[in-house]
Amino acid sequence: MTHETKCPTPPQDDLLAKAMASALDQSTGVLPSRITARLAQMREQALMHQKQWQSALQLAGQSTHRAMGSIFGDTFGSATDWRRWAASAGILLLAGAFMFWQAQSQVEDLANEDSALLSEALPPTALIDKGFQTWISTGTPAAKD
Amino acid sequence: MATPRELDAFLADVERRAYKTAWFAVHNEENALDIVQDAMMKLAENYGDRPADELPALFQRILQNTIRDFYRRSKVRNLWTTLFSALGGGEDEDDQDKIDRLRAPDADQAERPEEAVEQRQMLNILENELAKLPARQREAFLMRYWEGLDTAETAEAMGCSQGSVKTHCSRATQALAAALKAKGIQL
Repeated sequence: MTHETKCPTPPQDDLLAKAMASALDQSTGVLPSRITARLAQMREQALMHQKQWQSALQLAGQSTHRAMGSIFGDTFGSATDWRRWAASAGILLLAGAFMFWQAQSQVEDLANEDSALLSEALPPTALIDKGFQTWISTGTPAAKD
Repeated sequence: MATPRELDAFLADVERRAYKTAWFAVHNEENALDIVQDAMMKLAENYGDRPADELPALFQRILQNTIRDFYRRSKVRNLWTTLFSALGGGEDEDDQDKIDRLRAPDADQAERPEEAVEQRQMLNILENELAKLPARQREAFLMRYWEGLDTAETAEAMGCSQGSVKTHCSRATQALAAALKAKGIQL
């Protein structure tokens, strides 16, 4: 090689490099069988872990959800999303039922108190009378001032 | 999205070159295989849903990062080994011996069948010279010319500018050409 080959122009660079790469290609053809076998094994393992193709079940789920997604939007993208939606709906339903039951029982309690007060012979004003309270606790009327 | 068949075809096409690329970097069969395995798994697990035409650049980037991770781990391991050796005060082999041992190809690598002696010799010299190149030059050269990525893809995979890729490639080619010429080999 001359001095020109030591400082080649870009096209010469490319040609030289491609010649070397083509020579290197030959070296991959003579790899020992144990290495090629290991490489094939690794490839199979990698394929088993391919994202989005991990299981037929997941795939089937995804196609259904993709169809749902076209109707409801992209949030219905996967089986996990569906489970999340169902769990959230269940929790909301339970919380709603509990709040409704609480409100109902409060209304019932108030109604019972009102009816008890109204059905008594004693007038409701007596309950806030100090003398009446004393009479209830001691059994004697309060002393007159 | 790449189908399993497309991913299989891609990996089958690239795996031998990937192994050699890793071997040029680490000079050890088992380590090179581990690196390729890591790279294949990372590609499948993290980018298996990408279109097939994006796989070559992605795989090269992952492979180079995995090689760099290996260097980092080795560096840390070597640091601890050196520290313990120093503390133990034991007689250790010379640094040059360590380098020679690291650089020496596996015994079985040298026992490949010889189809054409001259061709084999030339390949050995070329491979040795490639292994001696600075890491960035070797990466650029192999991706650009062996993997057939274009300059932009190589730049993206290496995380540098296209100008840097061109410079690395040119320097690598010149260094290899000069080394082959010095050994009396003309391409």
